[in-house]
Amino acid sequence: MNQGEPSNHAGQDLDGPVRTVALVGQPNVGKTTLFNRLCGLRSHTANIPGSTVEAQVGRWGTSRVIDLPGTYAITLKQPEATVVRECLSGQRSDAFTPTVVLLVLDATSLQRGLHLAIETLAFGLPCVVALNRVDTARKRGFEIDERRLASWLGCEVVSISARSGHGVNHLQPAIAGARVCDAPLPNTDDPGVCDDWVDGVIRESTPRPPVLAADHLSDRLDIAFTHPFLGVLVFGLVMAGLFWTIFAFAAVPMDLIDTIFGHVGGWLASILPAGDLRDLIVDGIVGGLAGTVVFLPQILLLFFLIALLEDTGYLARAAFVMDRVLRHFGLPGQAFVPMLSAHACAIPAIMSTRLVPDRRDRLAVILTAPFLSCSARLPVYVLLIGVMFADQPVIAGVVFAGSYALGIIAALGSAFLARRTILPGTARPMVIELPDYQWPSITAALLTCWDRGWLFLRKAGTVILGMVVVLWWLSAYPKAPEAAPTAPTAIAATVAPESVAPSPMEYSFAGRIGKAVQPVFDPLGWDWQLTVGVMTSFAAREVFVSTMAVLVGGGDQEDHAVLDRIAHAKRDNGQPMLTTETSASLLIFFVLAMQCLPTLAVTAREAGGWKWAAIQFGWMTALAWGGAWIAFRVVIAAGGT
Amino acid sequence: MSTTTLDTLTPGDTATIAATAGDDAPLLRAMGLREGMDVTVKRTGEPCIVEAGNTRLGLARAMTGDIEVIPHT
Ligand SMILES: Nc1nc2c(ncn2[C@@H]2O[C@H](COP(=O)(O)OP(=O)(O)OP(=O)(O)O)[C@@H](O)[C@H]2O)c(=O)[nH]1
Ligand SMILES: [Mg+2]
Repeated sequence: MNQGEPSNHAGQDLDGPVRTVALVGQPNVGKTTLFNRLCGLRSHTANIPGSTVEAQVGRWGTSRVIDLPGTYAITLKQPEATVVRECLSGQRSDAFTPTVVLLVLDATSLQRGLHLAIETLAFGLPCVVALNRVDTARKRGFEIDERRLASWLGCEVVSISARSGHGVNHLQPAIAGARVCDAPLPNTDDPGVCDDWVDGVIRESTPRPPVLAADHLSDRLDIAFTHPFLGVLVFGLVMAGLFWTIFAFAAVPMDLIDTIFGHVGGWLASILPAGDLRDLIVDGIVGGLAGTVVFLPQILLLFFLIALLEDTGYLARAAFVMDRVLRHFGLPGQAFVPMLSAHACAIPAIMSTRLVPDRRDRLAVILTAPFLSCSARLPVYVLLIGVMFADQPVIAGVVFAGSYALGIIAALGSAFLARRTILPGTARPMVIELPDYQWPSITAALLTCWDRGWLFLRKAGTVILGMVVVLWWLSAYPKAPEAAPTAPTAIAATVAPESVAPSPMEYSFAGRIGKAVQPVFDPLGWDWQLTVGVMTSFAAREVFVSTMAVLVGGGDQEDHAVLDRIAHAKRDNGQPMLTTETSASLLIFFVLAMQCLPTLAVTAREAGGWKWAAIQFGWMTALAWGGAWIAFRVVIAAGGT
Repeated sequence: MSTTTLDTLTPGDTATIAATAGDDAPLLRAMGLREGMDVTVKRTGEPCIVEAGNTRLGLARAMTGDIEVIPHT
């Protein structure tokens, strides 16, 4: 899965690099692994073809390195081929023109790679060949004579293993002395001659017979994992297991963080003099930050498990068996990877749809991907399910996995509708390469997890902190007059006996805004506080918990952990704020609603118009409101709290 | 030697590719399904799995129907 790294790591501020090296190769040969090793970066890699979708730039010593999407051939119509072709011929305005090509070939599938080599060398740029995965080739009894290969290709060949780093240090001198291919190559227009040439190269530079020992492990695992029914079942179990693990295992560290924040808040409240400053620090900053940071364990676990899964090679099998399922809903096989990565974040998922060749297929994926539960929804699910099923961990786990399932069903259903209305047609047939299985690298997964955790904390410390402070201010001002309130609600107090004079919170800006908008959500059972929480979460979903922490903060409960405080908060009329029925309607709302401005912007950009973003927003919001209303009514009918 | 299409073979069968047709022929060729290559059918159905050289490919039946092969007996 692509995980939304910025596309330019260090590209802009280079002071005159000596050369620009482009990494060219077929999908999944290990270009990004090599790129990361050379440039000391951690761009996204995965053991499934198509993990890189756009050019990325990094710096390696005095060179600038461009990592390109993998392509099976440069002359294809496929979007990834276009990116590579345009980059090599210097036609891309958004990228640098390469001065050297570093062609990455997979030693375990040399034949295919050599056809790409012919096409690449035809561009006439100085070239070095990195023969990757020699570790696997050797293990399977396959040696390649790099000198012979080099003389056929007319450029230097360096055997490496990008994964272990073996041989990578020989690349630097090779690149420094890179030369334009000086061997006679067959004309790319004549396939017969190319085939003969490739056969000749393989005959000369590999042992006879030029075959690898069979990969029995992959064959055996594939019996179950690619079975039309068993395979789908296995995939369902893998996903359910993934989400259940996150739910079950993150609970302990989450409680710990929550308790620590609770103590810090209580301690600060005890040493600071009562007043606005204390409220800002204790209720606003500490409470608000706690509302986000307590979910760090879940986020870490999610990214760790996904990184492990991606590295195994299983996902290509999952994509293979799920093609049958996706096809029924009008989605192409290539939709699988974007839809899976949307469970981390919809933005990189939508960007990775660039590899879906057909425009209508692509639009169908873009429009429906945000239904899939991203990591920003995770905190909200945990909070609400915790309220609903406080003492029933098993049911809670099932409902948690069910929330993800609901997102998937909504996405598939919406795609089905779209393919019969605004995007008529059927999905293109699939072809996918199934790479060998491999043991996932724990270190790599831990590093990914560290990066994601850091990103999450940085967001908490900047955007979310800023929002929390603004929200605290909105909820603290203007102050309610001390006596004889003159607000219109004071008159209502005499009419409706249960309503008392407005609390300071109700009198504040946040209270007034919440009350003005609350009628929209009244049928869903939400009071003005929940309304404000949902409104702020339209900027970023994870802010919801922080918002609620700020709104319900204060009072005499400073020692309580923040999640408890939210769970036991009261409405103005003294009723609990979160009942089973309001939690259920909120949960459904969060599963289905489009509450992410950056995603809308990316949809507009990738789909080619704000019209698509508007359709996405309208449809998802309508469905969310309707679904939440049904949930609210059903729970009440079933007995409620 | 009689040719047939790849989708008529059963698991375990091997064949030599004679020709690829259809819109996706250039892609299939680039992925390793070239004329003269030996392929092994690993799984039939929709989609199916074929192996050519060291490459394992999952293919929709619409695509295997476009690949002409000479079965090995
Ligand atoms: N055994 C072995 N595995 C490798 C080696 N280099 C990369 N890999 C694995 O190959 C898989 C694909 O690596 P990537 O770097 O994502 O491949 P890529 O060429 O960037 O792929 P695309 O972006 O899809 O074109 C990962 O799971 C790597 O761990 C190697 O030298 N040996
Ligand atoms: Mg890559």
